[in-house]
Amino acid sequence: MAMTVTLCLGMSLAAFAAAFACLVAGKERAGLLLMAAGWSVDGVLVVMNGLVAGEPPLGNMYHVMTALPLCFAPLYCLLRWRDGQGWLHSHVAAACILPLAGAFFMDRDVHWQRMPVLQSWWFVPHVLGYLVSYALAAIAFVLTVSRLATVRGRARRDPAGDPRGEAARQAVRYAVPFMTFGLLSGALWADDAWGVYWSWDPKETWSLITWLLYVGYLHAWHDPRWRRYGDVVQLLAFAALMVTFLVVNLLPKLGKSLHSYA
Amino acid sequence: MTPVVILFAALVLMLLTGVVPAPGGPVSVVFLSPVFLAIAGALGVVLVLQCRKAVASLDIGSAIAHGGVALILAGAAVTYAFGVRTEIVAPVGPGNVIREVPERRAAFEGEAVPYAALGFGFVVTNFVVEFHDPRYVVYVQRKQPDGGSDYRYLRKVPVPRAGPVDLGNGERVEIHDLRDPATGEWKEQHVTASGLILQRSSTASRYSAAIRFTGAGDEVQESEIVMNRPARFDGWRFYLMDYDGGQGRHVVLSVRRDPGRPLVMAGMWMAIAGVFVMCFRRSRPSAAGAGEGSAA
Repeated sequence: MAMTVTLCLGMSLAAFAAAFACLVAGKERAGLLLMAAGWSVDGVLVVMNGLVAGEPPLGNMYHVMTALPLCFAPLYCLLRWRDGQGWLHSHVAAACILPLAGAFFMDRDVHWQRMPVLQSWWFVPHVLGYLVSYALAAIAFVLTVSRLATVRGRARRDPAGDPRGEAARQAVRYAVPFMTFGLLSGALWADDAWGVYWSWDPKETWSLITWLLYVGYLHAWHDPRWRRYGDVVQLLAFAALMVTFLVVNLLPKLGKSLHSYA
Repeated sequence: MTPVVILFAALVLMLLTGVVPAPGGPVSVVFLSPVFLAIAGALGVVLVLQCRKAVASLDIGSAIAHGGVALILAGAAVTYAFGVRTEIVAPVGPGNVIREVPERRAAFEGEAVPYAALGFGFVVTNFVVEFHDPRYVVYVQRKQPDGGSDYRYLRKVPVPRAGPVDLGNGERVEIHDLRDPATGEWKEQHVTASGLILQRSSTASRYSAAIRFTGAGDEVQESEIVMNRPARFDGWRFYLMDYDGGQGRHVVLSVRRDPGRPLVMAGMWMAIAGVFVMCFRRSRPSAAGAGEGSAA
């Protein structure tokens, strides 16, 4: 089993890396085919995780890291067909590599057992809402870093003057509703489980900081005086997202946390 | 826009302060501090103003989203002022009727908290805990240069229904070796011939408590409390939080009466719906339309 998982992860990761290389080199058809192959292999892996666990495969960090790239496929289609942003393919491929690389090097707890607090009908929608929002935030982050790395001078302070800046805002605009759903469905779930919708737990507080920074970023876009700080706010928001998603779980304080399973 | 940006920045800074470990905990030190409550109040005012503005300009998504968040804050204020949230260690057994609960959770161990009468009685009549199939965590012992030793985590292995347990390094252990020959129970620890240490790990799959409420006029209600499924009686909600490690002598219940909850619940659904409407409606590129939408 461990060998099959490693093989699937390696194949999917290699497919996305090759797709990224092809797309950057302008070979769009080959790149998109490789991305489709990466998603397919990752899809097989997620189904396998679900069959082994006998539960929705979203229960631990390994599950989430392998499920995250799957969210990019429908989101890319949404951005391509609704907003004409098919050119985002290379950024999406780069964003798919990040979680899979993480999953490749982490302890892979395939035989996950669902504990009582996670036996709620909120479990799947809450995690999926966050996964979709994190995928979109990752695309926005890659776009912003790519723009800041290549643009110099006054244009750097005007994200609205670059298609990547506009696309990053659009990605965040789609991310925020899912993040709002993730945040508030978590509160509704906590109310069912513990009788308290908000307990200022470190994970909850960091998720609120992340949400506020992304909402602040969208608000900043509406005022030309503040828009130039949008990139900084978005990068800070992504840093907060990483803290919420990964770093908080490593804090010793979380041993007493209500979210110690997350 | 500038006051709103300042408000956002102040909120984020306060929240960051709240995640720094503090004596007494962040809730009492930061999130119930007058400064934080003032910021939350100012946010509530801004949200109501923005909601009115959005209603006037028929921007439904913005009105619902901002109104929803304002409602959450209003509900939280009602909870803060009038809500009761407490915990009680309830003995399991038909003779242990509880008619009063602590007025609030103790802020520290040993704090004397006054009790308040519920107006009815309840008793936890039974408690059951079930476990998933056990798993074993595999460790290897390592010698240290100073002559001591430590244990390195290798992996978790499931116990199959039949056949040997694969330890992942080509080594296998027969299932009967993991059972205590006297009791037939799963062993807490097993050491293999090669020196690998297998430590049992059991995860609860379900725990439930049967509870009987006796109200005025001998009204009786039997309920089962399971995690994520509280029991309700006479405006109070009872949540099963913890138990005594499977001995079945007592359970920890969270007991709530929260008049602000309906406002908060309505506000949450409004905020979700409003933000989806706001962010998924078609819009012109923002560079051309700085006034698009209605950011607070």
